Amino acid sequence: MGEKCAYLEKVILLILEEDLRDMEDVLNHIKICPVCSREKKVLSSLISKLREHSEPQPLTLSEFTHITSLIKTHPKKSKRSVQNFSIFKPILAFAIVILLLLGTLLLMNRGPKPSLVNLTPEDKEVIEKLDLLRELNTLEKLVNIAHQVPEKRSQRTILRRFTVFRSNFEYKGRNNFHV
Amino acid sequence: MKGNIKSEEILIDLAQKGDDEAKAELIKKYQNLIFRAAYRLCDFDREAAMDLTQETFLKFLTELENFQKRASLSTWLYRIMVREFLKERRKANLFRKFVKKIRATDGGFHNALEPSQLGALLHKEAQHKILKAMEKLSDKQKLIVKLKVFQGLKIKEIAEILGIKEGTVKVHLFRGLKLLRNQLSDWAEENG
Ligand SMILES: [Zn+2]
Repeated sequence: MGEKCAYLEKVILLILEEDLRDMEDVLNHIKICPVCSREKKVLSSLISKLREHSEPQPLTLSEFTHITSLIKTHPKKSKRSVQNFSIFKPILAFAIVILLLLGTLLLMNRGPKPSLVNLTPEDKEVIEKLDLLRELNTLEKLVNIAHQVPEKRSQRTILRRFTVFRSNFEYKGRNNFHV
Repeated sequence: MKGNIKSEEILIDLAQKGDDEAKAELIKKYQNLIFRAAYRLCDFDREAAMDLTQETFLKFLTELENFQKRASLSTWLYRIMVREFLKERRKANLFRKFVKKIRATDGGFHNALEPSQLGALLHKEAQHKILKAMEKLSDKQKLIVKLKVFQGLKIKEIAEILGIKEGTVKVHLFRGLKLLRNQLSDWAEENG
């Protein structure tokens, strides 16, 4: 671009854009003009090197996945949920405060039940399973069957557990509380 | 080709209606193109180019409803990318320079990605030479040279992306190219 020629700009455009309306005309000029001919050579080589050395290595699979995964964390969705949360935040906080107050009042008014205060964890478990234990008759029948008919080991184990459970219940019931 | 255009239109319609698969398909289709341009805009900083690509597609997703189809999708994506690039550059210019300096001194990071040690070294040297020559260009010249010469976009497309006249693109392009040519003509004529 040091020396001047009226065609120079068109030559550059031809190299850069790769198509021109008067391409034939420009190409014919390049053949006879040493300035434009040299310019075409230098610029073509320069542009090709600039493109080559500015080309990145292709995206790796993880980079590719990283960009595609954006769609799952796309801010529009998260923004909406944040907005919703910010609207409900004061209501939620108010509800929590009310619940805490009610809970405290209930706890203050409710004295401990004397019969339950000194119970061991085993006693509590028995109370929880009271409904089941009310079916003692059924259990008794099952135990009797177990004694009479040989069963598979697993069934025997279950029944043995029922038996132990029943006798424990009877013992605790006698000593701690009345059913 | 026509089939491709049609299927892209369908994909855009679906994506605008909220179809995640269509969005993913469009990102998949354009991410390499945008990444390559981002790499060139970010002065061959791969990590910055990844960030810019990511930012471009995030904006693409949030602004997709507003896409009017007046320009092609690639032009629209380029426009977002350039806008994000300029925004980001203003915001973190100093930080980027600092990070780049550290990378330049510790070497290795980019070289590890290249096929051979010697090839990587020559490639790195060439990139260094290009960046140094680019320092002489104004910001507008740099931007236009990167989009035209490096990325190979058409002048008309650049005018559309930047919202300026084709004549203005040509003026900046010729001036920028002249500055590069004056500094790099010897290198350009070297073999290899
Ligand atoms: Zn000439």
